[in-house]
Amino acid sequence: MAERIGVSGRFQPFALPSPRAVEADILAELRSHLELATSENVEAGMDPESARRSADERFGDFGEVFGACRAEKLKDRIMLQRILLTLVLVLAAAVVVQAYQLHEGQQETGRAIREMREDVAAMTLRIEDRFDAALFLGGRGGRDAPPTGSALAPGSGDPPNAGAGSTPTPYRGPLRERIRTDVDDLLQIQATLDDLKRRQSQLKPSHTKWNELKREIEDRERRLRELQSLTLWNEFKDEEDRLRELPPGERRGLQELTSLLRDPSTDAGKRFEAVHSLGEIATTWRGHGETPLRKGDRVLVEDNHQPPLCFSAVVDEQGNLLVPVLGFVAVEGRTRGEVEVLLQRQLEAYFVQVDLQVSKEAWDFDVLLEALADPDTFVRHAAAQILGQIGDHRARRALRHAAEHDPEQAVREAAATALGSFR
Amino acid sequence: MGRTKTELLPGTLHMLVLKTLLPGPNHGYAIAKRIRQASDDVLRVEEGSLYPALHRMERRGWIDSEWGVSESNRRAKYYRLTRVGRARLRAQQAEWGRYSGAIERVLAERPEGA
Repeated sequence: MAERIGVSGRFQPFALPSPRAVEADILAELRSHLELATSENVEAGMDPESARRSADERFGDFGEVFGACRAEKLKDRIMLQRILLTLVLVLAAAVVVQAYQLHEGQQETGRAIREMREDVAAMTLRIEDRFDAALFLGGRGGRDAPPTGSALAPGSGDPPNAGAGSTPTPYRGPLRERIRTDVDDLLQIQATLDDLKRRQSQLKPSHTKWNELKREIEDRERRLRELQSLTLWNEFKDEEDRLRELPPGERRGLQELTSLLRDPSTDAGKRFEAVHSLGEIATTWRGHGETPLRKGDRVLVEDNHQPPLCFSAVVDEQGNLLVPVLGFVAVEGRTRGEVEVLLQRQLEAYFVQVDLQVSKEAWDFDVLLEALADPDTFVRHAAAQILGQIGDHRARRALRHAAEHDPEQAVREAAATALGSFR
Repeated sequence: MGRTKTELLPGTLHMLVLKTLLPGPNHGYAIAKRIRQASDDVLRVEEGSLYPALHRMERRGWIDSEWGVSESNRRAKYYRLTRVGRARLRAQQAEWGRYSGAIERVLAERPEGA
C-alpha cells in the first residue's frame, strides 16, 4: 500500500480529481480484479484463456460495472458542478441586470443633466438680461404707474402716481430681492448639477431627485417670465428718447453754434467766435466740474467694476436723473462732485464694489474735434486751446495728431500745450 | 456445486463488506472471495456489483482506499474501515440481529394446539 492517489471518498470540493483521472482509476481497479481472478484460476490448473473467461463471467458486465462506478465516483463532482453552474448563471444574470440598469441609469442621468444644462444656460441668459433691464426698471415706479396685474405692484397703500418727481420708488426693495433670489437659485442649481455629476459616476441616482430639480427649474422659469413681463424695457427706452428731445434754453444756442461751425459757407471769423463760445459752455459744463447741474445737462457715469452702472442720462425737467437701480434721483443744483458722492453712497447699498466717476458730458463734443481740422489757422488754434481747457481725454488723439501734423507752428504748439495740460 | 447459491438481500452487501474489512484492509477481489468462503459458498456476490457498492461506501466515508500490492505481487486497491464505517457496522449488525431474531422467532413459533 505504497501509492496514494487523491481519489478519496471524502467530500473535498476544492480537491476533486478530474473525470479522466477517476475513469483511469476505476479501470485500473477493475482490471486488477480480473487479473487477480485469472491468476488464481491459472494457479488452480485452468489454461490462461479459460481462466480469463471464467474470471470475466464471474465479474459480470464490465461496461455496466464501469458505468455504475463512474456515476458513483463523480456524483459529488456533478452535484458541485451543477451548484456552481447555477451560481454562475445567477451571478451572470445579476451582473447583466445590474449593467443594464446602470447603463440605463447613466443614460437617463446624462439626459437629465443635458436638459438641466440647457435649462440653466437659458436661465442664465434670461437672468442676465433681466438683471440689466431690472436695474433700469428699478426707477420706473417713481414716474409711472406699474403695469396692472404685476407681481411687483406697490402695496395697497401706494397710490399709482404718488411717486412723481424724485419720490423714492416703491419697487426697488422687492425687485432687488427678486433679482438676488433668482441669482441665488441659479447658483444653487449649478451646484446641484455639479453634485449630481459627481454622483453619476458612483451611484445610480434617484430619479425623483431629478424630477424635483426639473420642477424647481420650471418654477424658476415661470418666475422669470413673470419678471420679464414687468420689465417693459421698450417703454423705458421711449421715455429716455422723450427726455433727450427736451430742449433746454442753452441747447438752442449750442445747436446753432454747432451748425455754424459745420457750415462751410460760414466765414472764418464767425467760426473762430463759435469755437470760443462752445469752449466757454463746455468748460462751464465740465467746469473743472463744480458748477451746479441744470436741466438738460447730460451726465456720464462710469464704473469700471460694474458695467450696468456705465450710462449717460439727461437731467429732466423735474431736475432728476434716471439712474439704474435707484430710479429718479434729484440732482439739479448739485455739483458733479456732489452727485458723484450721492450716487456712490446710494449704489453701495446694492453693489459690493462701487467706484463711480460722474462727469458732465459736453454736448456734441465732436464738433470741437472737427474744428481741429478747420481750414482756418485761427479756428484750429482756438480749438486746440479750448480742448486743452476742457481737459476731456477723448480729445487726446486728435490733439496729438494736430501737434504732429498741423501745417502751422502755432497750432502745433497750442495742441502740444493742450496735451501737456492733461498730464 | 451441490449447494444452492443465494442472492444477497437488499442492503446486506454493505454490512458484509464492512464486516469483511474489520480484520484489516483488503482489495475488492479478496473481499468478494472472503464473503463467498465465509458463507460456505452460499452467499454469492456478483464480483462486478461489489465495486459500485465499494465506491458508494467510500463516498459516504465508511471506508477509505489506497493503492497497494497484493500477495501475488499485483497492484490492487485496498479498502480500509474508517471510524464512521466501524460505527456503521455496529449499527447495521444490531439492526440485522433484531431483524433476523424477529424472523426466527416468528418461524420458531409453534402453531396453537399443535
